[in-house]
Amino acid sequence: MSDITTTIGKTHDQHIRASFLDSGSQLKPKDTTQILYLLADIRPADRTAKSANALPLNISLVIDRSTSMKGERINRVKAAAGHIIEKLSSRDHISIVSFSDRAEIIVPSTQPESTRELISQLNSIIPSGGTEIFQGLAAAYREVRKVPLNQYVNHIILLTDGHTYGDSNLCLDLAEKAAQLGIGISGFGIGDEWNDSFLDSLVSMSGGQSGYIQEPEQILHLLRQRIQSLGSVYAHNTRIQFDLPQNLKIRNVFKMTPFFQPLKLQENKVFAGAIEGRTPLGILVEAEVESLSAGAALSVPMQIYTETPSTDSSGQVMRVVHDVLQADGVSANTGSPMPPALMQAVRMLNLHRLNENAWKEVEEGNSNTAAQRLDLLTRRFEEAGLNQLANNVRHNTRMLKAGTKLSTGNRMEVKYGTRLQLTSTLQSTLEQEGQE
Amino acid sequence: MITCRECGHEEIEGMIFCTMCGASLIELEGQQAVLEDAPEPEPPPLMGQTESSPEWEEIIIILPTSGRRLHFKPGREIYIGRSVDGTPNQPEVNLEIDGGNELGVSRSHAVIRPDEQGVGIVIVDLNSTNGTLLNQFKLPPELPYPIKNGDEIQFGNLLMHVFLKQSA
Repeated sequence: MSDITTTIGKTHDQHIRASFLDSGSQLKPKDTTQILYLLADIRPADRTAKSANALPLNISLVIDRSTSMKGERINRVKAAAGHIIEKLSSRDHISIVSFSDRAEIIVPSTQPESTRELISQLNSIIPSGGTEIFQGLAAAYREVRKVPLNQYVNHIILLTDGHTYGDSNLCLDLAEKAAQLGIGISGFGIGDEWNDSFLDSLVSMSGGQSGYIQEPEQILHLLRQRIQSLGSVYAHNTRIQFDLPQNLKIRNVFKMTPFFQPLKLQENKVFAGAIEGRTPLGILVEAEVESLSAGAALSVPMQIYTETPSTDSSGQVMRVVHDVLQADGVSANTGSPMPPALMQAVRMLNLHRLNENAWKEVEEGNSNTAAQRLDLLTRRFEEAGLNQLANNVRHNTRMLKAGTKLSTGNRMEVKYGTRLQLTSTLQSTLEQEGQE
Repeated sequence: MITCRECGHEEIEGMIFCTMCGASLIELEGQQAVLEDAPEPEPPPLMGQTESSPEWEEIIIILPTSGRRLHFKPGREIYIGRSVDGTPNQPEVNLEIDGGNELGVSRSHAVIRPDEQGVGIVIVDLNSTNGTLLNQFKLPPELPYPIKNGDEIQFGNLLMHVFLKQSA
């Protein structure tokens, strides 16, 4: 992080702008702990900014070739990988790694020139063996680092259908190291036998995305979507460092848009991934305010680090101070006490939690509690106007009450369905606000 | 600590939703304390009953952006729009507090009323700037469209959910 441009607040030469909404109007002078929500909206400073000057991509596809991938799964993955190769520009870099209990480099890091030849290499992937994700990730990590990282949007995309054995900590360590270097990781689980909480942790280090591929025919669609959004990146490697006052402690940080993903908080810092040209990066912070005296001000200073093509590969730091309570202890919020976008974001977090809790009861086999929780979830989805999800959960509840064991697939469908639905609602609100 | 009105769970102050049951813990402007008697979701009407049974007892409107829930007796016109304080002709459903301004709701946006036969309930877009969508379908202005229990209606970008409660 050399040659850092340091500025305070909004200035003309900033590439990004950040605005904040908070629930400060709900705070009262108190000795006890209270919760504060903060929604950050980070987007290109220039509204017309398009991805025209976007950085080229440096992508590594990591393909699970364990025995269970045999048949349609591997064929669809190969077809999708081939499609991606064809769509890349000649400035991009791609590498393809396959793994079972060891890794093979199918396509070493290269610019996609002779695409036909690259695609034919995919045929050498033959499913057999176990699933050791670390082998695959480590090989991809080496391939990705073959180019000067600061000139590319670097991303490893993992496609797996199984649980990794005994190496999940190694994977998480690698993901953390990768994030430090500006390499993001996204992971997609195919079918119902993979570990979603592991993939969530893996991608939470870098602000990448995790996703559920229910049917093999969705592979192409999801992969293409991920590549497209990486291709529209305006700034990347976004890191937010919170310089918290004594009485403020962060509990959780979530990326809300362009997709929902819990983020890993380390020493009050998160790696939030990329800022896309069109969609604002929405970050929701859940914090604890410990003892607030009457008339006290409350501010959240933070540093937002980003890299853009025009910052000449060295990052830029924007220092901002968001005032929650003014010196008279009064909320700095003008307008409505709970701004709609913040309300939506918190509601989204709430639904995410209800969902996780209900399915946890299902997993633990507490059918009665689970059914009650799922009934509540149905109602909350309905209140939020999410009919399809409500119907889906209602159906699951009926099955559960009838004594049917609910599968991981049922859970994943609702979990990832919720993420998609909620994000799109908040996204349109944020986009509207940006147009004013 | 604050106590959730719906499930009695003790929650840390500043929380917006109960972590146990998911109910809203704050009172939004203009929101009645209706969370306590939140009705069970209604099942969709049975086949053949939709047109022939006019006995709607109550229209329930849910606004997800603010969490507001409004109850109306059918059999009359319910105007929907937005207005700032003090303007005359306030619509009965004022979407200003639900983010209506930001989400593109017109001052006079739509009306929910009984149909000509007095049998069903219809919605009519009042030539609004950003239009009215019924279950994602954009309604032509000034034409009545029947609404059913559980319909999703969107005014500009503001989503609303309608439940029709049948009399017992």
